[in-house]
Amino acid sequence: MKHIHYIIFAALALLSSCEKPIDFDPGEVSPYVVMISKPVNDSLMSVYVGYSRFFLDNRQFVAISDATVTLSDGTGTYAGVYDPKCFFLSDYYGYYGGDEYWYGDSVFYGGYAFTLRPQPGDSLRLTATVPGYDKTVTASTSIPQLPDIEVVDCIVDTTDYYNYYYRLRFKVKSRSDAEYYSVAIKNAVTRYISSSDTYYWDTVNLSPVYFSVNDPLVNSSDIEDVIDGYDGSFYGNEMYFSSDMFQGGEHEFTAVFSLYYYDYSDPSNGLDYRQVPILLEVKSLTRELYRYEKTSVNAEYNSFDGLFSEPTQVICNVKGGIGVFGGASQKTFKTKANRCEVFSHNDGYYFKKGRK
Amino acid sequence: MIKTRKLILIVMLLLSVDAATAQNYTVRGTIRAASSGETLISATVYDMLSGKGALTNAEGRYSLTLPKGKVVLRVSYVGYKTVFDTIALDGNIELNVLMESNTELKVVTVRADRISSHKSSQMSAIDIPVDNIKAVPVLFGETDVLKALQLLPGVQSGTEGMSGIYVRGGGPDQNLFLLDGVPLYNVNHLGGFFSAFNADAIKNVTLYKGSFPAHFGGRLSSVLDITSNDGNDKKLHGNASVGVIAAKVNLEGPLWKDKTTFNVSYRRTYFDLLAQPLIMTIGAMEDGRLNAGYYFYDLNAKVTHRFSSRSRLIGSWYSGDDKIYARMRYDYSGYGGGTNEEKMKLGYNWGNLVGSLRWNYELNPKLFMNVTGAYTRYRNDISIGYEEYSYYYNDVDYYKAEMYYKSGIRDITGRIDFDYLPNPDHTVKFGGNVLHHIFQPDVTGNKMEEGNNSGGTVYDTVLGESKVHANELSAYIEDDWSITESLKINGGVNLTGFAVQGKFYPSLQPRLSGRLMINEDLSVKVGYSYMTQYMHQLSNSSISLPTDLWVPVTKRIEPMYAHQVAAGVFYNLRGLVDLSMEVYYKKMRNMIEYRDGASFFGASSGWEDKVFMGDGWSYGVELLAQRTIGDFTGWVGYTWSKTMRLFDRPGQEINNGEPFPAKYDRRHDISIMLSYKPNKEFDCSAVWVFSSGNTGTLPMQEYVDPTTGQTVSYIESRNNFRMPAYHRMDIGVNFHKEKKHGIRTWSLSVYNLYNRKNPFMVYEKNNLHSVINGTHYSSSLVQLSLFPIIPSVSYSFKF
Repeated sequence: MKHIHYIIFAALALLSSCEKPIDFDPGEVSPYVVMISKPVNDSLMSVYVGYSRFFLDNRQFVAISDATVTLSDGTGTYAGVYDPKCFFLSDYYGYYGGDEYWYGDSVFYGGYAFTLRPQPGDSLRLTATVPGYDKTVTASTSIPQLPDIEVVDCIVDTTDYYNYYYRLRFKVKSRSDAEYYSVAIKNAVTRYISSSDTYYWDTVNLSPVYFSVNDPLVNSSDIEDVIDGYDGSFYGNEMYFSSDMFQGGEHEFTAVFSLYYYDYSDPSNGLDYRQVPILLEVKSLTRELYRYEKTSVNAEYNSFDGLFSEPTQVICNVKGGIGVFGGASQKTFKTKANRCEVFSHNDGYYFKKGRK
Repeated sequence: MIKTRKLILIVMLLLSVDAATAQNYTVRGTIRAASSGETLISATVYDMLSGKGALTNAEGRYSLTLPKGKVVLRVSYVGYKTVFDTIALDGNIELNVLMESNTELKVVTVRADRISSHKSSQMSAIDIPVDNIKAVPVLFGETDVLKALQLLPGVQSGTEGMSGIYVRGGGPDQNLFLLDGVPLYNVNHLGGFFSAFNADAIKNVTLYKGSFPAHFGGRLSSVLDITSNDGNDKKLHGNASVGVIAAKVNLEGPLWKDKTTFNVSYRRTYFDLLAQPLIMTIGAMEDGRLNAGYYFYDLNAKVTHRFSSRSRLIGSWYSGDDKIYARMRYDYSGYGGGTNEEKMKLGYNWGNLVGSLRWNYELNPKLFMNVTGAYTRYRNDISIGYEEYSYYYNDVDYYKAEMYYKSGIRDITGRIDFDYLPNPDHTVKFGGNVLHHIFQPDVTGNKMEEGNNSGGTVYDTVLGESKVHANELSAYIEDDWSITESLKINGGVNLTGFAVQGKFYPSLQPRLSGRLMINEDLSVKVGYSYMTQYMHQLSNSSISLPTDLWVPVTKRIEPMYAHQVAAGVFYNLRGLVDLSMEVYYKKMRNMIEYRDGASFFGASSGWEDKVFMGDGWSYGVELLAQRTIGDFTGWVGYTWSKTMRLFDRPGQEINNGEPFPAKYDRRHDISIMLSYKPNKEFDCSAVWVFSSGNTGTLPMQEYVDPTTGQTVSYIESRNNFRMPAYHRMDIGVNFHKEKKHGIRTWSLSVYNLYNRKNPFMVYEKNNLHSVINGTHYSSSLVQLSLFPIIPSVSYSFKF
């Protein structure tokens, strides 16, 4: 009988897959100049210019500091000034490990700052020339009109002791000049507290937000098609959608989410937590920005199936290079969610969940 | 008055035609192999005096209407001795011919087109004798019809080792597989490494790549028409073989001599049986009892009853399943002297079942009828169960849970076909088809039961999409018309309609092909066909999964259709080598492709949201040189082709709406098949294939988005990367020896003789390195290969 085992193992060994590195000359693929800018109405504009890298190369991304970047809005031309701290991502990003929350280091990407604050209706054109790069990199966009939106209410809904969640209802009026939107729900409380040797942030995290459209004419499959949960940090609390989902009219959305609080519940801090401030950020987007954001989210989050899924191409609208130049107009609404009881206490943290 | 005269004139004209044909009589009959009584398909019956001839149909029947007088008939079929018969034709007669096998010719290999290939009006068709299929050395020595087809020009394999075929730029779901005229849906075993066709049960295989005759329809790219053996009507014969992974047995013979025959074939893999000791050992190591394994089987059965020379009834059956099973049981001590029992089970079955009943009837010497009723089922069932019992004295607590997933498709078919041969210049086919499809995209059920001696509670939930019913109707008519000695055309039309979800999709599909003989050895052919397809297969583009699902067109997803034009030159070089060159262009509309980021898992739910509709086109040149007679036979095939896709419809853009190469777009495909048979005791064969690498998508560049910190992979275009070229050589040797009760054969073969590591897939691999100040990683591109050199041996005995 042992012989049978040997035969089986030999057969398995014979059938086992084998790997072989493929020679691939990175010189076949030259790096592109990357230009990224997402101007928002009434905000100072900035542009990132850097090089892409070959995908088998793991070197750090470095911004190009000696490029010539100009912006024109139809009335004038503006020159960008390189600022190494122009694009800044810091403690907001991190990870939650076990019962504690750890924050990453600050990251500065660098970019070109402009003094222009674009307004809805502006048409913008960017041009960048980079020494040693034989193409001129250009891109155009506009600043769309402000979204027409209205918050209805934000209520706590509970089905039983363990299932409690918030429902935020808001209405969007479909307009011919605003076809693409993003909606983000964020906490309005982010406080930094420092003890002797530890940094703490007082935050409210929104666990996955589920959006739906309260309209029998909109198919649920259409919602799944259009909306993607994404927040740029930990949980899905942002969605993108287009007016393809419905044809005109006013449509009511519901966002369902839970709240997780991490704070020093120290009455001396003077904040009233019985009502948690919630921010609803709504942007109307240009088509190029909408497609870029959607495809980059899909590329990031839908690649887990590997062999069993199709790759996602991130859409670019930059000529002579890659990246995106897409405008947006933003409205922010502040509402409040009623605070619920305290559940547990662990190492100085109060862990609280919203509940009636 | 004028109208009356015209009417009289027409009647007189018709009468004169009738008078002219009154001197003609019809010779008809059946051509069979003398040794087995099997009917021979596409045998040639030719009157040497008038120069008129006919081919036998799928039932081995022919009909030849000739002028009264002396007729010298020549009946020929490759591999058989030509039969000559002189008759004085003074009335309609039936002439049945038994043909002796011609061992001198030692015919092996594929014949491009039919006999007299350069003379037939049909082009882009390949007729493959089963002996040829068996001669091709293959993976694990397991004879495979589809892998033999992959060696032909215009037919590409998919991924290494897979049975899927890609014909002239079409997808794997664009091939119609007909087993005795009945469609078969999933033709793969073991994820596509083996096809569902057992060569021992097959009589004839014909592949159409283009210029489709009007009696075929329903798929865009190819029709594979497989006819199974009727069975020997003289005496009981059999064949049994044992190979590396499977054993096969085939029995055939008369149930009622010269009236009723049967043919039964069964194939089963036995890897699960060999692995049982190992499985049981693993179970014992876990303190339980384990029974698990995987196998597949095919059962083909056919019974043919001949009521008379004019009437036959044929019942055929095919069932083939892949099965994965696992059962585990634990017994252990419980609280206070009680005992506990846990049982787990997994069952995963997928496969086809086809049953058909066909009646052939000769209505008159010039008109044959075929009536077919058939049932087809493809299923894909998964069930997982768990049971737990706790015994304590006379008390018992239990908990049971079961989950199942079912999907599949069922077809009920009614079909009627007529062959009408009014004279040697016309072969008319007409008929119709009614097909009722029942699609079951997926159903999931959950059942939970818990309780004790005094009672229990049951929770039962069923979720999933309900059945989708669809009806497909078709009617066709075609005529193979010899206009002159040198000019012949085949023209026809196929009218189809598909009704689903309250929507009806009609389609009128013209077909036309023609042949012009330049001289006795050289002919030129052209062909055009328009095809419509009403269903799609949701499948992974890399491997064939049992969850690949057939779905119908819907209100949103429209039928696919294709226009194909082809032209070719065919030359017979001194009767030794057939040379052919064909060029084709195919335009396909409404193809579906997974959208960016779509996952193949769970594709059946909301599948319409995961796909986009677009177009495709393919063009190429196919060259074939083959030798079919002599000790040394074989062929060399070469294909140059280009296959593109374009998805630019608003909201359904792939690749920014720009054209991109299809996954299996390969510029060059070469196949060489050589066979040598010097005597009865020994034969050998070798195959060498080369093809350009498959395409794939790689993000060649990366960049950072400083607004999110996200590293973005930049894909310039879909399928922008080409894998290394694929090539390998296989060899096979057969040793035959005549024994007292039959012939035994030892077959040795080696797959991938020079151990070429061909790419199955390519991926990025990160390698960690330790350095003085920590670790860093580097990335490299790595290909995964599946099959190194694989020798195999099999033993068979034929009696």
